[in-house]
Amino acid sequence: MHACTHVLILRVWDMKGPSTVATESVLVTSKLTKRFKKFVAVDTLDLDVRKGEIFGFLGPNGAGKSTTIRMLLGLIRPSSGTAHVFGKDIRKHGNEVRRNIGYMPGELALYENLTPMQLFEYSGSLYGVHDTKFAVTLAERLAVTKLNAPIGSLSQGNKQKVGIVTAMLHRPYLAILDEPTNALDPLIRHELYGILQDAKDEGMTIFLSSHVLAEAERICDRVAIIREGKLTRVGTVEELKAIAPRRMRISFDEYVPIDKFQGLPGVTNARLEDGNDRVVELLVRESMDEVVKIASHHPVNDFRSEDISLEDIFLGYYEAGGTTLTIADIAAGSDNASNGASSNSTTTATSSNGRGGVAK
Amino acid sequence: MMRNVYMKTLYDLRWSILAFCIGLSILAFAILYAFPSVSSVPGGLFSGLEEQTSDALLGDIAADSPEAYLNVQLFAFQPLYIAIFLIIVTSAAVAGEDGSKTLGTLLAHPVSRWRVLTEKALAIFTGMVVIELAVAAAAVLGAWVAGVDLDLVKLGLSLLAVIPYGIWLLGFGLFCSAFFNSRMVAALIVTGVVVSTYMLNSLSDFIPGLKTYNQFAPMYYYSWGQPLVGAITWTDVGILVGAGAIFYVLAVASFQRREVLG
Repeated sequence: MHACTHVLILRVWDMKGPSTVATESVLVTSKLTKRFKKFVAVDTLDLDVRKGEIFGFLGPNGAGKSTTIRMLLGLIRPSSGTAHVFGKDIRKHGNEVRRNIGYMPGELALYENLTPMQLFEYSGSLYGVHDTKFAVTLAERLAVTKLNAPIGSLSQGNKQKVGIVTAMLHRPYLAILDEPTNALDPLIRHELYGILQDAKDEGMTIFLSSHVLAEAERICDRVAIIREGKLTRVGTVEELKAIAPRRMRISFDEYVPIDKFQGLPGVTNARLEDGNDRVVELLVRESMDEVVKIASHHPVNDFRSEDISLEDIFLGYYEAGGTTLTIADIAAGSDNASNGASSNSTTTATSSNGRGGVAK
Repeated sequence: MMRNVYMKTLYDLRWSILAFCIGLSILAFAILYAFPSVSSVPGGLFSGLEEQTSDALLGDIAADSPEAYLNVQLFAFQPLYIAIFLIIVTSAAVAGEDGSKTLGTLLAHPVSRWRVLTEKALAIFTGMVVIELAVAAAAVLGAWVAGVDLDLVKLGLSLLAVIPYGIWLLGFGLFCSAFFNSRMVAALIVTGVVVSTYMLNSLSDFIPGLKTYNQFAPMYYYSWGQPLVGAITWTDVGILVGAGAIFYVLAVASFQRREVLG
């Protein structure tokens, strides 16, 4: 989708504060591609990040998350495609764009000879912000210790906190955070979620790259899943969960042929539990009415239905290795998606950790 | 204090600058301070030199003069000393910062690449000038304390005359740092060029076949203490500064195209 097809009122740079910005889409990429010789790191990526949302960019290491981010910041050149931030082409208006972006890299490397305070002063100055009060406030919220000790002497967790503060000290309109919770303890992670929520409430857009699905599920308004450089899914967490099947496990008092469940509408991956022919496991995408009706003809010991987690969805999409479908595609044609799933799911959708996945 | 890349770079260089100031100043002071003792050697300092060697080292300068002594002991090595400083700091400027993965974070700020490189170049230039000022001051002090019969202003200027050589090397070093991904590769190439062109210029007086090529050696345009015995050749200064400027432009172009993966 090209930038000009969006409802996009260009940002007026002289205006102060995100509340005055009438931009719907903050970050739009169109067919963004990056090749390193024959290796395609990012493949025709279409993203649309909207103002004021926390957008999760999910994928395992090597999926192309950091390469995408580096293109957005102008650190590397796209092989083809375009990226617009605040309606401006990042290649033509790099400085203007970066003035309103805060960035924390995934492989965090800070100037180890500087103290956190010196780094805040330096980084702030490059953004034209000479007051470090806000940085100190953030640092206090994140419990950064030793603000006047060399960064090289700090723990990894403290370095991570300093990196987060540095990315946000100038109150950017868009914060791009690449794996920000690495090395943070649970309490600080919780505090960071609070900071991000506060920033969002003030109108900041947050582009959060992560492979920690629990945090994406917790704080992201929408998520995109990237696999081998290609966008696999994008939608709200609720949308992803709504289209995802539930995992069911039915324990009977007697043997029940598995083919009674196979082929039921919306049912995939029906199978007997390993080593136990009285326990049926299956995934149900839509109504479980038919499953319950079949089960009711046999003595049932136990009946469990679990909502699938974002992690299950993520792993399912990965293991299914499938095509790029949007939420709208699936909503419009879940049968097609299910049919596709059937063909793909002849390979098991059980993830490596033994949990059920979603087949497409 | 750290308001921009220039100040930050100077801050990073402070210990290197201090170390070179102290080391080279002590050396310069000692060389001048020792002159009265070594000049009292019977027959003069360079009486044993063959004519060809004497011509190569001293030119028209009298072999028993303090100028001859300084030419051999001090001015001949100034470009190498300043080259060591410049190789270390220019290789760190881009390739080194990329290797330590801080370059990406820096360039994510709203600061253009040419400005980053220019401010770094100016900071390195400042460091070089400070070092040479310290060396010149120490040499003048040594000459004054030892009572060496020299024009002290000209002595100071002779030492500062290494700066044009430093400018070309600053430009070339930044170009290699911006062009090559590895700091080690950048440093090795600059070192190779410095040493080989130094040797080319030095040996061209002894090997006739090299005479044709020594004008390609930047050392050929270095003054070798000329201000002490005559005047600076401004054409030579212009060539060195011009070469530095050309390499600086190439460095900017390379940096603009550099893909920052760290």
